[in-house]
Amino acid sequence: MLLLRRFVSSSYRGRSALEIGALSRPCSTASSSSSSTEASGGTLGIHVFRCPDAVGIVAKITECIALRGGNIHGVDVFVPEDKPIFYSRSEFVFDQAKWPREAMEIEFLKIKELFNADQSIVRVPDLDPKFKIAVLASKQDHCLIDVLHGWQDGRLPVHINCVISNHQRDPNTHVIRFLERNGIPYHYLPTTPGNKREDEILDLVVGSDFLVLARYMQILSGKFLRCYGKDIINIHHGLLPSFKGGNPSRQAYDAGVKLIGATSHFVTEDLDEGPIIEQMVERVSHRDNLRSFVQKSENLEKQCLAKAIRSYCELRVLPYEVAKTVVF
Amino acid sequence: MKIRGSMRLLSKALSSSSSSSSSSDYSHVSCSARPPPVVLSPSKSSPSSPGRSRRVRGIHVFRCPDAVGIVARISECIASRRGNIHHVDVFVPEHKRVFYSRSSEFMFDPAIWTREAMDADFHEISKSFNAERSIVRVPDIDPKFKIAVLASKQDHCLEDLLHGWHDGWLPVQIKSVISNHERASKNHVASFLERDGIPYHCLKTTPAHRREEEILRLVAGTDFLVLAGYMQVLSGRFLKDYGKDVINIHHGLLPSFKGGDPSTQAYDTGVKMIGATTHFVTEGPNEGPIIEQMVERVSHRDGLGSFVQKSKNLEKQCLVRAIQSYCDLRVFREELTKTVVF
Repeated sequence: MLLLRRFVSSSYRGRSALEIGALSRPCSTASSSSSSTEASGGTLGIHVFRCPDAVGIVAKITECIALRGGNIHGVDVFVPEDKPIFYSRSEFVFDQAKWPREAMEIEFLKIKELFNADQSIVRVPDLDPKFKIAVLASKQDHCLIDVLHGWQDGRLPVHINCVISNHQRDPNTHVIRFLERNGIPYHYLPTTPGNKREDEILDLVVGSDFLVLARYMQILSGKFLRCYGKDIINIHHGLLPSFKGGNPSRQAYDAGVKLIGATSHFVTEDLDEGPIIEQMVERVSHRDNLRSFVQKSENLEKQCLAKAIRSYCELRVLPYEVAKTVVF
Repeated sequence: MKIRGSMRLLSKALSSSSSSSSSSDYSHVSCSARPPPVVLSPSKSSPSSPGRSRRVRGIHVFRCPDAVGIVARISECIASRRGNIHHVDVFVPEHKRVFYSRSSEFMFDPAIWTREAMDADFHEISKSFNAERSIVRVPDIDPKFKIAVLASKQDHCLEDLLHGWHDGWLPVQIKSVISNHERASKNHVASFLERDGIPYHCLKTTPAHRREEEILRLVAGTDFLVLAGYMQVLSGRFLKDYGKDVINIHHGLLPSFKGGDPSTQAYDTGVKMIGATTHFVTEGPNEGPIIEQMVERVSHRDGLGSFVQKSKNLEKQCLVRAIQSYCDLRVFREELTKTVVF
């Protein structure tokens, strides 16, 4: 199982990306979801890498893949202008018989040590367990529903451990019936200004790989973020840094802007300030009233959040400097 | 064909101006008492247009309290004068009984429908609907909008504006360029202005001395002002004294990154979209009603240099588009902080 770096606004923590689960798990395609690479006779592998820049990194990685009969389908390399840091993301198709999963781990680990990388992750989507997530939501349904549907349709390659909300939902609502039908627990934890129920949330999200805040309107404390220790993705219904805080559609409408947007970002201690993963916009005009502002905004939020989750699961998102991201 | 007197543009630049005034604004020099000619068939020739009849484009914009029959009346007026309407935009907000139209783009023969008659006809309509705003403009006949351009050190918007004007994209007459930054005579902008006979006034400013009195004198007679990267904040007093519209380009997607150096702010924030905004200037900096906004995607591959370059590119396009819309009478102020842009 893979763990990506958690974003902390002031610190930079390197962390090995390898977790135990994948190594001890036997290679098997039995539990994999359908994958188009199976049909083409190979298995998709993804490798992401970050290390101090040097000559020969790409050569080494690609040679490693080629030696095992892996066929590279895509490579993205990025070295910032002003910093000697190397980022790469390679997609390759390989034969599991020729390159067993454990061997792959070991060989990439060697490259990691060779270049003193602070981030080296390899993932085989069809073999490795899906990312386990917990989704937090408040009263607004649209992002939560879209995440659930996206999961059901296979567009979001995740396993949803549970849904946690500070808002009660009637058993007859679409969300509750969906969750019941699919065996996903729904935990209602009402919050007050004095009690954010963070300890209970922490208990409930144990074992998840990352969290998704699908319009969860409570601010998670620095303590929670430290204790959880893993990435949290939030959707903000506005084009950050504009319109932080509540009701950005109303703020945008009153401001008379001609463009509205949505932003997905990693959560840090500061409200709506973590590294941005994805932004999307749509034009508005005098013909839009507050309702159509809200409708366009909700539409953008759903797309923006889904895109961010997919990019994250595909290992396209890497931390860049303190407050930014590389998104391949 | 008589050329009309000076064309005065009516919307006020002040945020405090009320939109509920009942006096109608009308932008023409009072016409003679001569009754309009009624023509039942197209004239083959007239003293001013021998040979084929000439067709020119007219634009009519209108704002009044909403009522039944406004569009019918306006279009009937145009049709009765053999004007051929090519485009109409009508907008009535959901919650307010205000009517906006831009009708507009009608083609007519000035021999059949003289400019004075047109003014008189639309004036009648304006009176009957108690319009707050009623402007008719015939771009080929009426004088171009006279503007003054203010700039500081940055050249790109100013240069782009000058080239746009030169190439005929901006239907304006540039009376002068005012800057608080000196430009050497070999500078591209300076030599351009010299070649085209546009005066350049260097008025250096200090925090205490904004030279606003001098600027006011220099811009007398203009129809509106364009701030093309002018980094001084114009006081409320200046705006009141000038009394006409001032258009500014802000190199950021308002309300993000107000103030100075928005490209660096955006770069440091790690946004994935950057933009530019043109807006009317009001007393609060970067707060007036927005006219146009444009964006472009940025990513980790963009360094500060390319952030700035993309931003400059957006600013140029955004400013030109706003000026074109304004000259084409597409921009109305709505409420205090917004615009209708047809």
